[in-house]
Amino acid sequence: MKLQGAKKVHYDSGPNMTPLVDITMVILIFLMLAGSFNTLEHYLVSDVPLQAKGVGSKPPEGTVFPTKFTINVSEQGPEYIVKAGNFVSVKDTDPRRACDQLQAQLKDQYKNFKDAGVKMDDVQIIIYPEQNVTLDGLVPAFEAAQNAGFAKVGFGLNTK
Amino acid sequence: MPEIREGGVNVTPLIDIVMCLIIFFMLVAKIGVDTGADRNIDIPTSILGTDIKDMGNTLVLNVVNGPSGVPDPQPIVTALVKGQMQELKLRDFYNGKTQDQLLNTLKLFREGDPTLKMAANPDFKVVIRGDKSLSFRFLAPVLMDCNLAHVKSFAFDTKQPA
Repeated sequence: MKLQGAKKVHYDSGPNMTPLVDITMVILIFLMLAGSFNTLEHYLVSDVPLQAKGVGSKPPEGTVFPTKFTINVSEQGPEYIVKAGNFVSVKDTDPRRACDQLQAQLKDQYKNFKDAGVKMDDVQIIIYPEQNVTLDGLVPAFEAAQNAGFAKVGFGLNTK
Repeated sequence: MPEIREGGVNVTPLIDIVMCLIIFFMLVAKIGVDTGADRNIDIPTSILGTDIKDMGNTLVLNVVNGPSGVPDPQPIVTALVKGQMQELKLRDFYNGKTQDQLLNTLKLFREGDPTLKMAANPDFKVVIRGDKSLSFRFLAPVLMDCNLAHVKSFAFDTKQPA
């Protein structure tokens, strides 16, 4: 006896897409798992060479020397101390909080430079960290200087 | 002419979407691009930061604190050089001669070497992937070598705050 429901229906409606879908799904899952998008990282860029005695060569005749001012960073026990030129001195246990204050002062200084007609491309900030200062303590100072508007931020080596 | 019968699930929109997703992931994902960045290093966090578009023009230096309690401690610097992860010693004594491996590598990348078919690249950048506990006494010699090799620009690799 033949059952009506058991009748096999055959469809001829173009190519069989099942293998294509299988392969594309596998490729999709692979790409989603293997891809690294690097969206969680970024870079703090410095175009200013390290300032140290005895490094580099004699500048050519007629070289325009940049206006520089320094930021000294040190850590004494739990205290994080940052001094910029002779106008800012901040002491705090939290480097971020200290550098927020530094940034506000640097913004004022940036405005002063501009008002005085200084070409901002010629202004460099050189950060002089103490030997024991960690990268985690350096980055906020670097950020504060760049956030205040100074594009050229570099590092210097304390020779003492 | 074969008879076309309606039936089953129409997979055409599914394939369209999947193909679009594959193209998106192929364009955005950086598969197989190894910059030599050591993912085990705990890098500092920064709010500010830019993206380096031309990572092919950079050398990533993984820098961690050197051993303590030894005279003249050196930072531990590793980088992907000639397709291999190598430790680049700042001062290495070999056959009675001092070899500045890091400095020589930086010079090689910048000035090139015709025997190794490496072209000079004056605009090459250094990316410093330093541990957040890296102290400046260990970072300074690395920056000094970058300076001596006349590397024009360097960048600190930082992570965005969560």
